[in-house]
Amino acid sequence: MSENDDNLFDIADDQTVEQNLAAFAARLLESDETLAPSVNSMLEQLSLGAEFSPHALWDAQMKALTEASGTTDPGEQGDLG
Amino acid sequence: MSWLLKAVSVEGFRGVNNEGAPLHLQFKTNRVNSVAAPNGVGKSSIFDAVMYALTGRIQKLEDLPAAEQGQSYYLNRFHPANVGTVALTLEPDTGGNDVEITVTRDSHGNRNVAASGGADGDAILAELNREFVLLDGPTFHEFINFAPLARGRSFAGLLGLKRYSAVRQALQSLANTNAFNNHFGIRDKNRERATALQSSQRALAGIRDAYKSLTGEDFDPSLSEDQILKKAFNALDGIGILQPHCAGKPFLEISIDDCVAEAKKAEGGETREKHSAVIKQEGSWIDAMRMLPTANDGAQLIALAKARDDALAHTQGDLFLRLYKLSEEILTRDDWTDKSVCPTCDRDGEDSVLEHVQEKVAKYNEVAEAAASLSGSWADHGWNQLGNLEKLALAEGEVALLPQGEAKIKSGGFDEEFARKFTAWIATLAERGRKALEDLRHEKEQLEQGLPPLLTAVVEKAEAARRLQMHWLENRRANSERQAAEEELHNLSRIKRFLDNASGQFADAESRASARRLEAVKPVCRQIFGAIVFEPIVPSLSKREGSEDLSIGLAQFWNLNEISARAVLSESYRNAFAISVYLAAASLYGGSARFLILDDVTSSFDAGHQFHLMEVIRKSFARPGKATGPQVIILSHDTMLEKLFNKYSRDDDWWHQRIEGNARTSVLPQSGAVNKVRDTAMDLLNVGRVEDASPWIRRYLEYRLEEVIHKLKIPVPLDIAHSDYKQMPQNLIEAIDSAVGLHVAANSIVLEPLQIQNIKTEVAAITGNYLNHWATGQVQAFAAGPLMGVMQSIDNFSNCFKYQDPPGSGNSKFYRSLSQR
Repeated sequence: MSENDDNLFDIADDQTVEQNLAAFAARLLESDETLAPSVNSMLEQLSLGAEFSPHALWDAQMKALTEASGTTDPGEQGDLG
Repeated sequence: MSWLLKAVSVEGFRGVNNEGAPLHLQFKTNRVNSVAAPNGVGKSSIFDAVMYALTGRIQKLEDLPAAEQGQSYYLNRFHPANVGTVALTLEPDTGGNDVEITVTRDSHGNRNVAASGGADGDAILAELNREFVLLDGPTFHEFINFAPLARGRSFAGLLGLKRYSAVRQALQSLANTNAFNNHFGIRDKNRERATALQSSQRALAGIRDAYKSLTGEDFDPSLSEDQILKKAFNALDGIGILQPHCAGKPFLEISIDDCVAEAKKAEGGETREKHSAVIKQEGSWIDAMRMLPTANDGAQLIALAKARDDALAHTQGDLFLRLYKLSEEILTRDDWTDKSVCPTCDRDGEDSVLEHVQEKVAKYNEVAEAAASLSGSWADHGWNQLGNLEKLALAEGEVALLPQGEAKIKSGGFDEEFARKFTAWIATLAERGRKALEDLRHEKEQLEQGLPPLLTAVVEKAEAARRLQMHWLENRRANSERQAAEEELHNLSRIKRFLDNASGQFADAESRASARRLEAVKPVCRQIFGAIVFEPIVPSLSKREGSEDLSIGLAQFWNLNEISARAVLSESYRNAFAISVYLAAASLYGGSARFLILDDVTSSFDAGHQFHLMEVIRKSFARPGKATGPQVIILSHDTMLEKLFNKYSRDDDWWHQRIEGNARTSVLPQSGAVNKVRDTAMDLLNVGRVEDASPWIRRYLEYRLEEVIHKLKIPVPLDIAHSDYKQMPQNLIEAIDSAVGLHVAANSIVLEPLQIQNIKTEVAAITGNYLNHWATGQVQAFAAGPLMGVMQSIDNFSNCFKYQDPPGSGNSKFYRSLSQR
């Protein structure tokens, strides 16, 4: 999601809440496909009226991101700078 | 799918007992519906029942102080089953099968929802849970008197933006910097990174020193790691007696202990051994004394600790922090509508309690910020790297302070007093270090005077190699830790940036939608208000850009412009304002709920404005007057308004019902149900429940008397409806008696002489055995037998105004009037 992308999402009056949230979710997916699935899952929770927990979502996002970026082992790379 | 309300059935809930025979109210989905009831009969219980079905709660009970145990008043206290049942029959607006949704609540507060035909009852009820479906006086009163923020949030629901608002609030929770940082321990991670960086820098300084001692060259950072280690290897390998210990090994794996032992072997003796030990000790002190914090660093540490103490002085401890945070959580919820009511004591103040607790929490945040700055300075200036110095310089019996300092920094308890003590302590240790180094150098010089110069140099090189190895490995470890911390912080900052952007973009979208819908509501609101009020007064609604606040005002008040609505409008006009907003929003953004229930919303109106409002509802808002409008159900206790309902109900677009009863026995719709009222009274008398039967006898008597007056067009005094309800039957009897007397005197009476005589007899029985006691509250004087006789007298009295047509047929008809058959 670049800073120039502001205002690309709008709530359309002729669409249902579900359709508008789906559009927002799609917009998030375009902006950062690594992170967006977790926010999508949040939107889903909210539209189902489920209990919303920021902590659970943060942890899930962190886990997804760690798995996506892979672990690095910088131990063998000394830095004398 | 959108829904109309076809029927409501209630048993064992709020003021409706109706054990075994639920109150069943049928509504017409293509008409305006009105239900009238005297006070205390159960009209608002119907409203509460639908509210519970839709929302799972009754707000006025939830708002009661804890001591009053509002939860225990959901169920009817007289019903024996400890279960309340509310059933809604819903008709799809676009055709299809009706759905009956039955909601029960037990005495433990457990709620169960079941729906006919496999429908998802919970989902349908959630769709119907819109702000405008259930409207009563307090709703309008609150809307006008809300603070702009609370009004704005309520308005978001009216505009169909409630779920968007929930998503926005959830996104804002996700992006909340404090909560996010606390959850992930961002401050600790920053400290870990700073500590690793400091360790690495100290190790690098050690590498430079040791490298120069070993190779005789300045450290060249442009060289690669391999080149540096190769040069170090060559320097050690170049010493003949050490070559066997270096051969075939990378520099970092050469055993320095073996090299030193080799030098000792070349020239053994106590002096050599002592010399080696002194060099080793000197190296340890040099490392421990490297990059000591300066006096300025110390002063900064003390200043930051003082700032943290000052901030802490404005707080009241963790217990209060928990109280403030919990209060803030409650107050920011949408269902805590009045932010000036304290959630802990229910007191209502003039100022926002939310703002108060947020200020309090902010004070705690200032402490956290100050502690974070202190922690940063602690790591940045290497205070936590002084463990070796403390270990070397600690005298016997002294207690180390560094572990205490570390613990205080981690717990946020590092205060000014300790900062002063700690910095003074480190200055003492540094002084001891300088003295130790001076002593060691002096001792080394003394020893070297008695040793061959070559081997002295070999040991010095070997010890330099040892330090180089040690610092090299330390640098690797510190770099590894720093990179891991940076990697994690980078990932976290990506998440945070993403959430900030997602949250901001969603809030913008919601704000634009809200502004757009507000613009659409304004003209409809003005139109409805104008139709109710009929004065040159124009309401205005405005929303600040980027804010949830909704302000109300008057664009025009006679010849004045832009003035405060709350300051100049009477209570009735304020209600008219709120009603106009709600009806306008409902007409434009109704969604799935195609019905509204209005409970006593006209209480503050005079008869004229009541009429105007009913005309607006009937002709331009509700179906069938407006084909696309919602179905409107009006509940009212107002006797004047009921006369209007009775008039309207002669037309095809209105359906009026009256209910009677009480919370202890049952509530029944009276239309076409007079026999039910009679049966209920007789059933109660048959089982000896005289006290419960007596109000039903009153209803039956009143019904029969009004029936006679209505059928025979008997004139009644203008104020007959204004008396106490206990006096009403007597007033009706007197009106009838007076009219009969008038026609007898004028010789125009159509009644048979026997009927005229019976009137007196039955009235005497009804008055003597019932009304005299009822009107004065002496119900203990009642007995079942005489009251059964009163029931018979009521029927006999009614028959005095009927004739048989044809005579002897048994087919009774009311006379057309007292003078006409």
